[in-house]
Amino acid sequence: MDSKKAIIAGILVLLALWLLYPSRQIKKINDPNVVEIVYMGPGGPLSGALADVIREFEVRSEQEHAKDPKKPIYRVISGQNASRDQTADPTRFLVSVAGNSSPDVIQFDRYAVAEWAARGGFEPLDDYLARDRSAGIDAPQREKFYKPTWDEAMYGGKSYGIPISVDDRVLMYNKDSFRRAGLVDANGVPTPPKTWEQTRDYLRKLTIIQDNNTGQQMTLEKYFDGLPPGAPKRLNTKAYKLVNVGFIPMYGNSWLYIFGWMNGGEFMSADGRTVTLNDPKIVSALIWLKEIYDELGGYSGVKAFEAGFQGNALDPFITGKVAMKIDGYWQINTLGQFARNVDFGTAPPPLPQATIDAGTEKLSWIGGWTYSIPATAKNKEAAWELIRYLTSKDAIGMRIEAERQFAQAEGRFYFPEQSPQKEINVWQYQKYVYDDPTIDAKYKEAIRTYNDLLPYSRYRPITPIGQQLWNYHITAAEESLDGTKPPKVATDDANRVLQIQLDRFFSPSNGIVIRSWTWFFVMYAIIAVILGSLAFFWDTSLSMRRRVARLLGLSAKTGDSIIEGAAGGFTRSQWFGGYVTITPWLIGFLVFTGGPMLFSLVISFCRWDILSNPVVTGFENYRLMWDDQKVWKSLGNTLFMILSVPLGIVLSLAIALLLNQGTKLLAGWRTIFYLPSIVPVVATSLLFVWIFNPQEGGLLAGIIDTFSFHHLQSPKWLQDPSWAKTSLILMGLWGAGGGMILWLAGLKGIPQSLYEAASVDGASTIQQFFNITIPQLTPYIFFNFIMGTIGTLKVFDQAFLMTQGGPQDATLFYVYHLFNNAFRYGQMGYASAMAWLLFAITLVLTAVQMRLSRRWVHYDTA
Amino acid sequence: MKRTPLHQLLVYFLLLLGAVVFTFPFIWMVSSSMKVDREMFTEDLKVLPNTPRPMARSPYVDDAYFSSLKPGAIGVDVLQPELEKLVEASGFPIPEDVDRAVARREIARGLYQRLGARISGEIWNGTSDKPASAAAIIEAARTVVDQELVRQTFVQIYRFAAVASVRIRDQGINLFDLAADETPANRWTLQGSARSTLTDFNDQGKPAAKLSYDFASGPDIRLVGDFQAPADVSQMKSVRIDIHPDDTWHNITLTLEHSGRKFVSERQNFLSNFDWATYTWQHASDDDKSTKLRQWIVLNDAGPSDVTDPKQIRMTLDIHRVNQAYAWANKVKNNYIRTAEQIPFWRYVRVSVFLVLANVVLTVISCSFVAYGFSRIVFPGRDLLFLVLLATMMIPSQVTMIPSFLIWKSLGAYDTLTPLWFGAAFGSAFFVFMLRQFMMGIPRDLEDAARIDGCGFLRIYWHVILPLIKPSLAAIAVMTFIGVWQDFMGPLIYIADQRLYSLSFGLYAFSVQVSNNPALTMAGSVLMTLPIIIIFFLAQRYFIQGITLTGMKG
Repeated sequence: MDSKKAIIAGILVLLALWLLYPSRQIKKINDPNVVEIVYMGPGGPLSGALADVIREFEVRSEQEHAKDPKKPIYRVISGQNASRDQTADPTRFLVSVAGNSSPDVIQFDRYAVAEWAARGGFEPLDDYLARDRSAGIDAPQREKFYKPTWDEAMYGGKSYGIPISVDDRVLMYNKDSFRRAGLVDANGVPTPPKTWEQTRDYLRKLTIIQDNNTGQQMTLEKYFDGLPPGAPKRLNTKAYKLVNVGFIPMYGNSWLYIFGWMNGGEFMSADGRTVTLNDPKIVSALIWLKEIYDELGGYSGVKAFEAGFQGNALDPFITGKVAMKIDGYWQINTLGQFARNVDFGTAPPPLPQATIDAGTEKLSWIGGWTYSIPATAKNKEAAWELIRYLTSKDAIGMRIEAERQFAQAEGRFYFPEQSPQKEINVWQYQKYVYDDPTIDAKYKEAIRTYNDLLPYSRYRPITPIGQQLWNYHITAAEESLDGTKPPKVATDDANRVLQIQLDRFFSPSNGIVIRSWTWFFVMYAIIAVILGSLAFFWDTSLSMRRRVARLLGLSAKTGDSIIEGAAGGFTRSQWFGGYVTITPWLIGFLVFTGGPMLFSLVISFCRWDILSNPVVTGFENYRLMWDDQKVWKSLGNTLFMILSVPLGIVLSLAIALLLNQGTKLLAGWRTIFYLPSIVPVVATSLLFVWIFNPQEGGLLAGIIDTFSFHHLQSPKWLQDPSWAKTSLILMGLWGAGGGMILWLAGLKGIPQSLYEAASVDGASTIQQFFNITIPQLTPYIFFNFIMGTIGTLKVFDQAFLMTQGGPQDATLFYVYHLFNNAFRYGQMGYASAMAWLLFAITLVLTAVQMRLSRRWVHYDTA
Repeated sequence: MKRTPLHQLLVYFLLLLGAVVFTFPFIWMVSSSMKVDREMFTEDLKVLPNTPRPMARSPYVDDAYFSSLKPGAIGVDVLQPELEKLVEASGFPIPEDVDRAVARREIARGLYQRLGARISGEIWNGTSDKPASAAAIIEAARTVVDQELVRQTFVQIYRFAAVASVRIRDQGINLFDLAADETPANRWTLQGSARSTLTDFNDQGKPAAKLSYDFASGPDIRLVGDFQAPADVSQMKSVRIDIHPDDTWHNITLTLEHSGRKFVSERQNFLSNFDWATYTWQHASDDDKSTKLRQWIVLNDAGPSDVTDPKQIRMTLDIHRVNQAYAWANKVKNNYIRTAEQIPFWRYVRVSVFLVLANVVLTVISCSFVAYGFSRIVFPGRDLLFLVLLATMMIPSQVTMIPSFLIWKSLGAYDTLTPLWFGAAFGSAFFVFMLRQFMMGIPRDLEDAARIDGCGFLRIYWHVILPLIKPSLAAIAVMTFIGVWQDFMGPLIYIADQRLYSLSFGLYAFSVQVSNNPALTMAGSVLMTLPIIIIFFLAQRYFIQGITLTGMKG
């Protein structure tokens, strides 16, 4: 290397770095009058409407301060997070709480508030409320809110969040479809179904199917009439396909929760100590749902039909593909934007006749967000000031006005969000909807239906295992509807797991609570010293190596043949050179990597929810893992994905071989094949939805249709549990270009003389490939195998970004399950135990590969 | 190996085939980035964006809107004449400012699409014993098609330009309607070379002034409005005008005059899309430098003006005709401008470039140094340490995230860029392993020769090893570049201050905020990908060469 050039280059780089280093325009404020409030909300930094409101809050505090210098000036710091939301990805929130840098005010998904409040993550707000009430300050008090919205954020009798938004669900129906099917009253006005029994009848009249051979269309009712008597009422999906569907129970935003409640079921006992997912009422609701799906030809078929659905203007409800659905309030914006010409109506969701007879007239369910104060917040008083302001009518009015302007700047109708505060809800709709002559009557009617149902709404059970209950209730529903398990068995299975988790929460196993971590650093140092000396003796003492080899039954040769110079000790330059060169890595390991690894090992023997101190529980986590079916299922899924490693190697090698044929414009071709591995996932996820759409519009489905025999049906790709992983592998192969680079290099490195010699001996191209090319490439194949395996065992992104582990846990990968446990279920200890099991598996697989490599990897350098 | 023409043909065929498959995601991303939201959600998804149509006359009827109809049992051509008669019979008054024959034809096509959903399937598709017939369908259509349905269909294809309310905003959050007591058309006077008229009308309940124009007589339209504000306007912040664009992609700019100064818009806006929208122009202010989503166009001072009355405001809206090529250019750049403008794009780029440079330099130095030790020097504990190095790659980062965070925080590095680059000084296990494999292939003789000449290990590293692996370091540099450029988990965890966001993270945050507009996300993704492609294209020669040389074979 030219040292002068290197020095100049170094100076230039340093200069560039110095120039580039981003300065902050605003310095940290050291004014004692200024109190900083850290705000964390979903969807990125503060902007638009909320930013205006916050600015107003700051200005007002300045004015107050001018009047009374004892009052502080508030500054709201935002931009804390840009994860999708705290429930889907609470990583950012939990890390900041654990790191004692938690926000002061957080916008949190309401149903998850109880889960983290139960673990001490949030500050109870009752004292603040009581104080404001006795002082006569206008504050967000419970009686101002719709009861379900407030109660959802309560745990153990205390309030942990002030509701800021709410959305309930109604039945939406397409009046055109109803007219077409003759579902009208005497005056020709379409009538929505009121009962489950009616719904089923409507479904048959509204569903239109098409004969695959003749192209004839008819209603499902007519098809059933044509069946021989006694035949099961189930659509034959081989001969017919769905064109329009009257009602898909789980499409829209209606989960088993709402159907269970409709049928009079409860998911938790009143005292919150018993999980009742297998309540007979819930099981019978599941049976009813399954019957509906079966009439339509089965759950997976309907799912595949749904996969063709798109959003916005192509929303299946807007295009008439789905005549009825139960969906949430936010749909009103889609309808406002794209359904101005669609005649639709809304009604309370239909109930079973028995429930109506028992006195329940209507029912819906809600979700929404709250403002909460994390227990570790630094400025709780200031945080409460901000919350009180943000939930005041002034602030909400301002926000609504700003949102309206923003919506209209984009040319959209503006419908305010439903407000959990009764008075504000009435006021805002009067002003912005009912009194606005430009808004069509059907929207006003729909908004009325939504608002009328608010007091009748249910919410997800308040329990420390809320997220698990949610996930398992989906699994149980999917298993039942798909016929994998009978509804009773599926709910029993899920119930058992959940009950164990709940019992563990309420009566945790005893153990030592870890409060101080001094011993950890001592232990870390001791372990480092012990490992270091062991390695030293192993490498410097031949007799010890022989003894160990004998002990382990290895051949004496293994003991001897480690490295040169071992027997006679090492030269000073070897000692010095070796340790100087690896020092950067060694320091990095000791300071930044080793500690966290050892920490996770220690934590794997503890129960730890991140928010409180860990409790030592010995091998409990490992024992629980043994019983956790999802661990083994996810491990199986992950091991299946290892298939992608050889496939990727073959494909990328094939590309490299193609490019190695003396191709012109090599740089261009290489770049082209490399492209897919650098396109960001945000951009490709939309594309893959289209590619894997199993309906006519889908790209792959279309290709298969064109090139194959008529009766060969396209698989349902990501919708089908047995194809989902394969689809992901196919997706991954797109990135094979990334691996191609290594092969090209390897191919370039094979001496041409070898081929020439082989040609002289009369070897064919194929013989040359297998006897020269492949053996010469083995070091690269080896590297790819090792890194591919390690990488695949940690596969996570696809499940996290695209499939969320579905369908039916088919893409529940090990690390995704681990992530769920760590950050969504509050079981970091368990997650760590899982990590170390994975570590052991990876280590074994790598060791086996290393051992086997001696037989087939060909190093030709001495 | 043999190189017959047939062989070559086959190679190029396969390469082309592969190229089609492999460039597809990229092409899709680029073309989507030029679409308007509407085109992202259509029944027949096309790869290329629709052609913009810079009409010379407006209002007009969009005859491309119903160009691809889903065919029923009886085709649209058969039914068209009868449907046109139904349109006529419905009594719906088609406005005089459009070509009525075209309007009738297009309404008929639109009706065809809607009838498929309105008429019962037995009639529309026919049954086995009674096949579909045009007569039966028209018979059924007669009961469905009324004036309201025709009106709804016409609204979908009627394109017009219009202006409605004009508002200004003060430094706070107060908005003032200007000339609220005037009708929308009376607020403006028309100038400019093109023939144009403003007429008051009511668009679905909204009072507005429709702008009819014909560019045959000239390329410019100018609307001048003189307004009296309720208060002193020297401190006003922004202007908001409700505009209904006519989807022609013509340019529109605002010139604002008040308090004796004249202000012109920093860039043009376009008459794109066909929904009411509020166009906002804002004086240069601190907002421009903030991290707010920027949904306004900046007004720059352009000298003195004769409007000096403290309450008087003059606005001049200039619409300038574009030709087909410019319309395309407008459409292509539209989403890019919006993306780069709405976020502090260059600030993010600067952070990203800093991180990339620091990471690349440190990674290359540290990894080559460490790999040298692991591959070329025999020292006690080497194999165990190497195993440890491999093992660090086997623990999922999810469980070490919190302790790592605690370490960085205790070092005072939370909410600084340090955790995102300083770690590179300690090498990365993956690259050390990779480089070690390459260095293992270098023949001993070279090193021995140097040693005989009296070189220590440092000089061997500098003078023998580095030159040999220099090109493969280029490979690592490129891979580090890509990794750091795209990383967003690091900033998510360690950065709280938006001013320190990197480009990937900033764009991610942006895409979450505009999730209803995927085209903007695509534009952002393209902006992020382009530098990588260029770097890869330029560096890949070294990249390949590098690994080859280290093999030292042949």
